[in-house]
Amino acid sequence: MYKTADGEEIFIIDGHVAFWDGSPANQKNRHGAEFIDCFYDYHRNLSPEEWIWPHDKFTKYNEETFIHDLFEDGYVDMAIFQPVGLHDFYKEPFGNVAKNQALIDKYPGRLVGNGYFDPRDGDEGLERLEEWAKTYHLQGIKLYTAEWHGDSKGYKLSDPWAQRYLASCLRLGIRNIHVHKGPTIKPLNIDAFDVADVDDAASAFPDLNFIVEHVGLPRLEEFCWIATQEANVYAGLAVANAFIHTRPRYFAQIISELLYWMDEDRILFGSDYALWQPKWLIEKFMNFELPEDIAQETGVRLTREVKKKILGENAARLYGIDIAAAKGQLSQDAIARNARQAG
Amino acid sequence: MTTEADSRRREVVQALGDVCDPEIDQPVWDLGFISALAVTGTAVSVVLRLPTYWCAPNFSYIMMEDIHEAIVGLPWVEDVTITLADHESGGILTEGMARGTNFSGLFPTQSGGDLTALRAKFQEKAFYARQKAVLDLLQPSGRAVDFVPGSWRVARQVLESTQPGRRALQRYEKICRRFSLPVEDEDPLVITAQGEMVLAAEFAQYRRKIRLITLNMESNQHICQGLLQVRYSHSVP
Repeated sequence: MYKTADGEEIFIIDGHVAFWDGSPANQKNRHGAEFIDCFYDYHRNLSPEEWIWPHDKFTKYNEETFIHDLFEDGYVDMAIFQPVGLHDFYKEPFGNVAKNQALIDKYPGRLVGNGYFDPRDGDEGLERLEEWAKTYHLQGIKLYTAEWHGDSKGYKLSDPWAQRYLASCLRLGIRNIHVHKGPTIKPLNIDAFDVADVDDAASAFPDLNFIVEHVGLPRLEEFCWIATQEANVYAGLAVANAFIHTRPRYFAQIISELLYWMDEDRILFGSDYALWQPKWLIEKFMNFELPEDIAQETGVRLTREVKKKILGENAARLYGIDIAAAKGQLSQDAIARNARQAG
Repeated sequence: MTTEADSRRREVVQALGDVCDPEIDQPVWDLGFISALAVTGTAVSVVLRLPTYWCAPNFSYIMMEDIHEAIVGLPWVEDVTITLADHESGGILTEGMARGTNFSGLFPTQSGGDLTALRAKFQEKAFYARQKAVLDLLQPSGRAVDFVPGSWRVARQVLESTQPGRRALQRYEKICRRFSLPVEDEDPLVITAQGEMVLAAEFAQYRRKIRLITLNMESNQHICQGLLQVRYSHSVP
């Protein structure tokens, strides 16, 4: 919960967190090392200096750190796991659905665990999706269209197998499809990060929600044009959030473009933890005001009401979370008790 | 004392001035992507390094091809070696350049075809970004929604007196010529990449679109420069 100076409590849902293992012991090959190192470059490039972790800690952090940084220190009330397997780079999955579930069970009501699939796994993967949907009560899926898979270095949501998987999601009640369309790994192909395939999938599956993570950076303009046409396309702010420290003016431009081309009901906050820490991101966001010239040029406003939607209300709607009920429940849990005792 | 190798090196650096990262339309030399450049007699070798191990191979190969073309155009050059360092496909791309293989030949099962369409797409983005840079200088407040753009003559009259103005105009003019678009004094300053006029009634929306294209490009530049800086800072705690 974030409390404003005038005492208003703002419910925070962090739409993009991970509990990853990128440690050398878990790396399968050089790519595994390079992957986590690339994350680390993002981390130290965009974080305030006092928030930069040592490399070792960044590759693998423990449960106490995770719980503390999100819920005790970071204002977050609830968080959504967005795991990515990266099986070609790591021995155990980089983002591990079973490990995540253990935390979900241990801290009831705090965490939502999404799964992932890879349409190139064919029938076998479809069966696994079905099994996971039942075991983990999946409401969402994280997709990494550029993930390596044998000889293939990416796929598109418009591929026939991807369409079959999406049809299964619809049948299994998995409504929220988070698609990584952002920087870091880029594909060989003309590009698997091209956002055009989201357009196709969003039209073909109007009852699914497509959350484009990292707002399609570095394809922001193509993403905005798609989002104006498809009402079931959402913007996940992970990575873009982090500009707020090093490049606040660019953050202002990005958020004002999103507000202009989409609307305030379709933008979701995500720290991308452990890439960045929610505490500083949320503090800076709550204190942020659009520069006057940008507000005038785009004609949008980033009011407290808009911020509340971005920080929690929009994600709550997608995940069927009743904020008032959740507030009541979470105020009684162990994390809340510890926080009260601490301070 | 200036040696022949020194002056040849300068020629190479000058030739590289027009080679841009296709995504951000800035020269690879200015971006710090060239980590080594050596001239030995008539042989030139260049090492290209990028902000991440994962930068898209197709974009990487475009830069390598453009570097090659720029250098091989110098009259004394007989041999060019371009190495892509610290990259997941570095070996394949470096060997491919040495053999003169095209991109789809390097990745027959994975690439979506040759690089022509990709080049064209990003050239078009660069066109609009350069056009917007000129418009911003003509209307520095940034609120140009009511502004009906005039001819090249007007732009030249206003902008050629300042260095940033001249540079923006030159960059825009260069890319217009690449697109075979007219740039005489009488010609309209604002047209689409396909050479269509932008009507006054459409101008506000048109400007919003090119604003977004430019923002995307600049965001990419910030990400790329920041990552390159930390990647090669040698300061891992």
